[in-house]
Amino acid sequence: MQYPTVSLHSYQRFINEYRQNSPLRDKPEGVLRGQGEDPLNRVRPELLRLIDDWKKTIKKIGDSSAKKEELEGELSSQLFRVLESLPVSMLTDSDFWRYISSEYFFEFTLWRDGEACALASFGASSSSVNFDCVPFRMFNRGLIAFTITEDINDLEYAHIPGTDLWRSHILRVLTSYSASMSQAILDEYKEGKLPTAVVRDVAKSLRKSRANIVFEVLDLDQSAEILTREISKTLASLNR
Amino acid sequence: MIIRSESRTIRPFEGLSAAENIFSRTLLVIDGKEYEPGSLLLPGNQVRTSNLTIKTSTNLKEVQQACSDAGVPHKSARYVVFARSRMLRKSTIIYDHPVDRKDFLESIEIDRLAEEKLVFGDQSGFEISAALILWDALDKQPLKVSNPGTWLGRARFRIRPESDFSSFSPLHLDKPTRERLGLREGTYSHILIQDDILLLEDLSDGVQVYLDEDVLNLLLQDESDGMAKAIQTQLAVNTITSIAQCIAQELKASSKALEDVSEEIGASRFIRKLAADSKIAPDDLLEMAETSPNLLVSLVESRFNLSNAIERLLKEN
Repeated sequence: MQYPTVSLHSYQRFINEYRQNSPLRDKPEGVLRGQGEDPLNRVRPELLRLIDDWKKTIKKIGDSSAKKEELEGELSSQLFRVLESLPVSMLTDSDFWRYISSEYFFEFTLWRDGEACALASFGASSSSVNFDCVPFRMFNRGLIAFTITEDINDLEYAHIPGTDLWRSHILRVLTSYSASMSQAILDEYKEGKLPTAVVRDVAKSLRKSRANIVFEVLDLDQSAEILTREISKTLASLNR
Repeated sequence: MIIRSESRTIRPFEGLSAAENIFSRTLLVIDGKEYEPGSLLLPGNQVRTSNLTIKTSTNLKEVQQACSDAGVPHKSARYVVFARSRMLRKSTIIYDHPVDRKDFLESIEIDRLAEEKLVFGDQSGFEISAALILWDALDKQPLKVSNPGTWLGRARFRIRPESDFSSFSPLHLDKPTRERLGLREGTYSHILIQDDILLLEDLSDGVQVYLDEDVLNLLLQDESDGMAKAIQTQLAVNTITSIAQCIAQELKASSKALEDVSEEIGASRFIRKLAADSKIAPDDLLEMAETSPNLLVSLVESRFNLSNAIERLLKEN
């Protein structure tokens, strides 16, 4: 098996040149890693279709950040469906995600996170990509939804909008290793029982609970009970 | 009026010493070699293909006694082995054994092919934990565990590849990068540390080390060269001391003690490991980083005078 990769340095150089409006800029060339068949070739048409769909949609939704967030959620489930069949060794190689970012998601990233967005949005701030990298965070959003439902045709959880909720309180924290706790948080948030004003404090309380409790072993009822308790405590402390 | 707030991670339970003792003896056997809990650096192919076995170093009678000491009925507790992918948000439970059932496995072999591929196929590493866990809710009593999921004892093994690029491998410092970082021409090296370092589970996500691109290219040509080793050593010393200073400053700015920072946070593991290797208390190390940075530099230089030792320390954290 072989697959395309983009090194951190070449991607950083390209982004720098792009931002300086250098006329010489070329997208970083994908360097093949390994030998044999490239599994990405099987899904390239679907990736292109996904990007084409996005380009058609942006004309309708304009510059609304709420609409952008909604669209990212919808595309997350589609991206997960397209890429989930790839070998795990590809999906856990940061240089592969930099290739996906540069080849397919560069313009999308600028649109989503802004022209002046951080290098991390491209997966180009450090050797390992993190959850600020747009396609990587979208894939993991789909993965979390799939872990909750275990049904590739039902990834509705990925569509629940909430930029800060997803980034700061699900993807970036260990809580998201627990499908039941992720589901409980998303259920409460969707139903309006986890107001934006308290989500940060609740997430902090959950982090403290996690020091003593292994969230991965909890079922949904148990996770929901812990979450409800933390929400109540937080609301009470804020006199709401 | 100055308001000072503190938060501490506490385990407000009694009767856990037997469980803690059990898990201090838990071992991970990798291709026949035994490892104690902590961070383990392995060759990349071993991360991907090695045979893994949890050696519990205990028996059912001892596990049941640990439950009794904690006031937990045997039917309400389980011995659990679970694992997490390092890069993807995926975890899996490999083994969960009710403590009132007889067929307890003292060695738990992990069948990598049958287990979750997104966890054990992660080429950037994974984490395996063994724990004794309260499975059912119990009536609340002072100093007794009662919430389901509460662990009585736990051992964690973090497996990382030796060639872990996500550690502190230096990045090229070229003209555009200098401009982007606001550095002057001729800057030779730069260590960039994010200000949310006390929140990062993986410290390397928040630290970037830059080295002049020509120097870095020379280094990469022959890393075993004497000069290359000296440069690497100096860079590693600078990186370690800068990170330690930054952590000390952030703790002070947020009025926190090291105990307030969960062991899941990379900064906590970093300071504890550096302090242990330097044979001083973590709090003393932090005070030194804050008040006598030159002494800290000397300490790091004297303790880690070999580049490979420093590199190992960096990669482990």
